[in-house]
Amino acid sequence: MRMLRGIAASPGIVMSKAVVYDFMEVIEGGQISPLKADRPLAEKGKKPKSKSGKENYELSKFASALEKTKHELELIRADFMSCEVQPQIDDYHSRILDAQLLVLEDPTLINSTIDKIKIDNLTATQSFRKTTTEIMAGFKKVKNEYIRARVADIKDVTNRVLRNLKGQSQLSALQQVGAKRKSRFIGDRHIVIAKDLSPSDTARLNKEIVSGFATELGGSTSHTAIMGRAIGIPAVVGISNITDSVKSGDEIIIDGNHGIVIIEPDESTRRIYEDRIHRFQVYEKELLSLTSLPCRTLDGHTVDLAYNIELPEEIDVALVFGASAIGLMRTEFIYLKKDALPSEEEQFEIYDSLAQKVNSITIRTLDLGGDKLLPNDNRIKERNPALGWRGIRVSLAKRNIFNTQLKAIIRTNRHNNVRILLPMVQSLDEVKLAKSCIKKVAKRLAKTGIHYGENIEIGVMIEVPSAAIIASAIAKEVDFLSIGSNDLTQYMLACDRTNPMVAHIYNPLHPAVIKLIKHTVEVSHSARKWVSLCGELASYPPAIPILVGMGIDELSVAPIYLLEIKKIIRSLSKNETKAIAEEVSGINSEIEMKKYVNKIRNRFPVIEEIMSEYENT
Amino acid sequence: MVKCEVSIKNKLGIHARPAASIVKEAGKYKSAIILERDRMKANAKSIMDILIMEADMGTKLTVMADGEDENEAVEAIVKLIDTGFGEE
Repeated sequence: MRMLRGIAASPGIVMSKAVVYDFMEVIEGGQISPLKADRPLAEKGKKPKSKSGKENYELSKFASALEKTKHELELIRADFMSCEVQPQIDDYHSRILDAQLLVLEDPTLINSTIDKIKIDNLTATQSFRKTTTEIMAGFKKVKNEYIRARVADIKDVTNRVLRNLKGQSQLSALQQVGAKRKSRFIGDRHIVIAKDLSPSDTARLNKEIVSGFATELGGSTSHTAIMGRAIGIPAVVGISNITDSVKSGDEIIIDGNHGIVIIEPDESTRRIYEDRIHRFQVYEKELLSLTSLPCRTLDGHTVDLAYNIELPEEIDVALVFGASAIGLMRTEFIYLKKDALPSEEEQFEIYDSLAQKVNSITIRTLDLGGDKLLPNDNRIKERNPALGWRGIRVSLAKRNIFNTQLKAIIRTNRHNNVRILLPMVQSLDEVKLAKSCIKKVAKRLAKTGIHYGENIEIGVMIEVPSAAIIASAIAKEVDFLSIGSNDLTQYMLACDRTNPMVAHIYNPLHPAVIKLIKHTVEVSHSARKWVSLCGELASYPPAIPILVGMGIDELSVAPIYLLEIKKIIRSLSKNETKAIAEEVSGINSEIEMKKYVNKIRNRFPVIEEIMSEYENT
Repeated sequence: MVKCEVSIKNKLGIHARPAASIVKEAGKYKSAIILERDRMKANAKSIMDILIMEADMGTKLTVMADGEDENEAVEAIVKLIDTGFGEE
């Protein structure tokens, strides 16, 4: 039995057989040695005797591997065209496949491989591997991010050729699982173990055959992790060397609540986990029974519960949980995915497809480091990107980009359920300027007969401390405020939580952060505007009574936490939480705050139950 | 042999999509077509050569072709680059 720790990427616990999908294997490993005359000439098949006979054999082997790979890529393309993926993903994949097909016809790749077969006397496999290693070395020097982003796709295609040269099966991870399911382990769902899952693999992850996955690469916000959460299967990511530690067919436990993977568990561990899985299933079932119930306290106070989404796919889980409002839609993915800036039409299609499915949607304008939108030559190296050129600062400087996004958002308001949210605001003047931009775009659209911008609601993210301090003035300018507790904490405590040396300082329950949140809520209410909170604090169970007590109007959380937060709110009374919020705002020491949080846990069994489900045992 | 100098006009430079357009266009001609940047040479029919060359906005390239349709080939590739591959 072995236990590996990674990052908890998607909750749930599952025990099943592993299928190892070794996606990168072929290119990294393998030694290249010139073939000796007395060695078998090819791995399989006839052994040609003469040099030219051998050469022809290797050349034709190479040609047929290229042909076979081309055929596979065409099959994948046909597969994509036929399956129901979002149109924007479809387009993205089809462009990747386009470039991949060109790699197969690449004269540099082909000629260099042929030269090695002819001149260096290597096998087709050796020649091709050596050639790709040389080419990849060239790519290592490339600095352009858009090009670097394509390297994985090129590796994907050269790996396919290599596997075809070696006569290995060319099924995708999921097809592999499907095939093995039919043959060896009938009836079981499997755990996929991989270095990384490509977008094409994750897009096709199927709950019917995959019960969980663990990967070497990725963090909690990587594409793989988000997809795990979106389709609701447990996942652990960022576990080094897991593909070396696990063989297909091994018994595996994935504990997505704690980020733990156990390989070949012993009898007692197995029993503990069987118990835990059962408990978690009961727990989840109980949560699902809350789906259609209102998010209201015992004494009748309603808190709006909304969810954050980073990728459109995430909406599916939220809909299952009965949620009907998107409290924060991040739009960065639209800009990161494409090689070129997204057009108004592309954006509109994405926003509109989501707006149709919900009662309300708050779309945050681009919150990206501006450097990602510029060509390499024009980039200034930022020493402090978090304090740098991002969010509204970029939008106000790059009006064309901002206007295009605003147009798309305003057009989406044809359903009359769209709000605009402005990120990274630090001054009142920025708010006024951004508002005038929105008004201008709305006016221009109105001239063409599109009037949806005239009364679209506008909100400001409260995440820079200066904005929180002047929140009363900002609230008067806009329709609502949305507290981004993650960045607010980071900026207030001057602490980068991704830096392991100072991560322990990061604490959204720091007394100063709590005081500023309370201030923001109060001044906003005096201006008769509503306030939302959309950071991780909104899904931290002991924080819920505090936030409800302060009078927060809306909590926006990741879809998977919706029901847990609803469960907590339904167990509270507004009056009781008011007193808690009062007491908490009097605390000045972090240690005191910690003690108070423990008190909250002891006082509310619902909170304690949820906490213990995710805490290390 | 025909030569012509061009500079990259589109904002994102020659990333995957423009590289694919060049390869597809170059494939229509029999001539050997080379893109040269500071003595670095890329076969215009090789997507990997072009990507590794890393031509950002403002980069100056020399388009060279040698063969029976060299004039048409250079003209076509230069036009593609000059029009910024239909991008901003």
